[in-house]
Amino acid sequence: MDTVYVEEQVLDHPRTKAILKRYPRASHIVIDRYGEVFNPHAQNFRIQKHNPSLILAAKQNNKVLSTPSQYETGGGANYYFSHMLNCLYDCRYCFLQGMYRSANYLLFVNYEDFVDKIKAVAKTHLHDDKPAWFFSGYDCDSLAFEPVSGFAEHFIGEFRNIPSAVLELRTKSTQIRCLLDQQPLDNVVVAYSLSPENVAEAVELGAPSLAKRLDALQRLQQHGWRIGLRFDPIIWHQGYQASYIDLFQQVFTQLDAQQLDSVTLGGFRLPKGFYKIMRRLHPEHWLFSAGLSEADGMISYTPEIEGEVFAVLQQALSDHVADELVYSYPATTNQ
Amino acid sequence: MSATHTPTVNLAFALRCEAKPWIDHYNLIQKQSAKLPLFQRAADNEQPFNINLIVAGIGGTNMASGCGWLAAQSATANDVWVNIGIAGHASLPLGEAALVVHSLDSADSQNHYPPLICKWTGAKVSLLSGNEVISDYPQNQAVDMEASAFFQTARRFSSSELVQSLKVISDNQQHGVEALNAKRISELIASQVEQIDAYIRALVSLVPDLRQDMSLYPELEQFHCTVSQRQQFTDLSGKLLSLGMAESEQRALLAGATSMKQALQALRSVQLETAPALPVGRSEK
Repeated sequence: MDTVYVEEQVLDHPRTKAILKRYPRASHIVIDRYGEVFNPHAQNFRIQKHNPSLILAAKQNNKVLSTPSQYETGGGANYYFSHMLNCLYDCRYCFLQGMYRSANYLLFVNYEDFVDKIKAVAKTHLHDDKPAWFFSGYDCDSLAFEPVSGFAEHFIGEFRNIPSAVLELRTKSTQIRCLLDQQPLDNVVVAYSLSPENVAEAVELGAPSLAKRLDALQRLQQHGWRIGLRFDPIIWHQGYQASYIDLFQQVFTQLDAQQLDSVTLGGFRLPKGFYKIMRRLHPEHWLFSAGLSEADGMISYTPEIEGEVFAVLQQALSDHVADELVYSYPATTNQ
Repeated sequence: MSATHTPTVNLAFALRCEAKPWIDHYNLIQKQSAKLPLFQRAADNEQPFNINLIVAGIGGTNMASGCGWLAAQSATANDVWVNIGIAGHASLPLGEAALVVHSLDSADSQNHYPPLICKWTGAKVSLLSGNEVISDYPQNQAVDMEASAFFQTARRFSSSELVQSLKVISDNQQHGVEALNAKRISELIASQVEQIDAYIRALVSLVPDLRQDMSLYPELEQFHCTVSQRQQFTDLSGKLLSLGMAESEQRALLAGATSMKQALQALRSVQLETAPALPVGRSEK
């Protein structure tokens, strides 16, 4: 990290001080508001990915948000929160490239304020039939920055005291030491995004290999953590049937399917505006050229392609895991 | 069809004496018919990018109008823009080159933080730009008269990562502006040409490769073609290229087409049905 921007208001925050100590050679630049660095026009996400800076700031509003209805699982109340915007990895399909102008890592250090809000929201669902779920990992990878951010360590500690709510950590990371160093919690799910090795190599740039993710998953499961598997987004390609069947075999050879919390299949989908930005950033990439169509402002595989792909994958999954654990989220509506 | 984009570097100076070492370094030729002092060199085997150098004059207004004028001459969307000049600083030694990491305009208090992608091992400064010479040096801040206007203007024409300002310290609390003259300024700037040139080349390496070629395949030239159809063709052809279908294969698809509409249909149906063959091995970032 060559440059760390710090909002003046968090200069004295203990988490800021600890993080800055990790980057003694970086330029530390004090700013008034993170938006001055993160939000200006005329920034290029692809260029910034060459060498992103870190921004330390305080999140003021909208700390906890309801999930879009199409992403809900399990029937309970679903929320998400983002202690960090942008990701250490560079997955070509990631919507963050289309959503943010900047590729800098924006870390909100005021975890305590997030927790207060989560507790307040969870309190409103105390009498629900099902627990409220709080998802982390929409706008960043939940664990990839753990050695610096200490995010999971802090929030898992807090969720010990919020038994009526479930925390889901979405990740591709192998930074699991803090999870292995403590007793697992019933109300924390560690959910891994998985793709066939050839897909991961082609489009999940900088992310751990499939083998490393599976190794991390196995260790977490053996330690007793609840595990979720997210085959999302599914990438259509020549020979995708064999790729995904092989993936499922690898996964369920290493993991105990009986002990899984949930398995999801997700269609590749992007808001049209994001797609246009992403294609402009990577005009040469096949991902944005293959089999896509637009419906209701969303870009996804054509209903014919997605329908075929989901049918094949659902069938293949059913050989390994009970149907009631599998949730399918195709982008198109013909399922 | 697939054109290679040659990057362009636009260098903006306030003073001729600041520009002189760069004119010499790059062997630039003055464009005689230009309304402002403009020096140029087209890309060649030794210099893989085009260079435009402008001497805009002292102060923000001159810098803004100079950059605007230069952009109107030739700028494309991803040009590198670099402002080089002298600046004062309370404590930095004379002759030190400093990268501007924060620009503050004294008139409207507008802040700008240029995205810092390329490595710079020298000093980094916050820079206060004023309309007049600032003689009392603020704490931890360099002072000049043009950088804020430069950033505000050049960012309209390129991506912020490619718009940077580098200052060479010309005066400080021990050595005021009184001792400065054109010769001394040229000497100060010349001493930092090598370091700043390396930084400029690093910026050039970031310039995205643009596909600008909108030309049709020869067999399509016979058809009436609207602007929209030409754009659709460029889009489809680019998508098919990214899916691994070479131009010759695409042209074979068009053999039976009798209109642009038919040609586009032929390309589109193949594009929609073509599943990508994934490359073997880890992709480059």
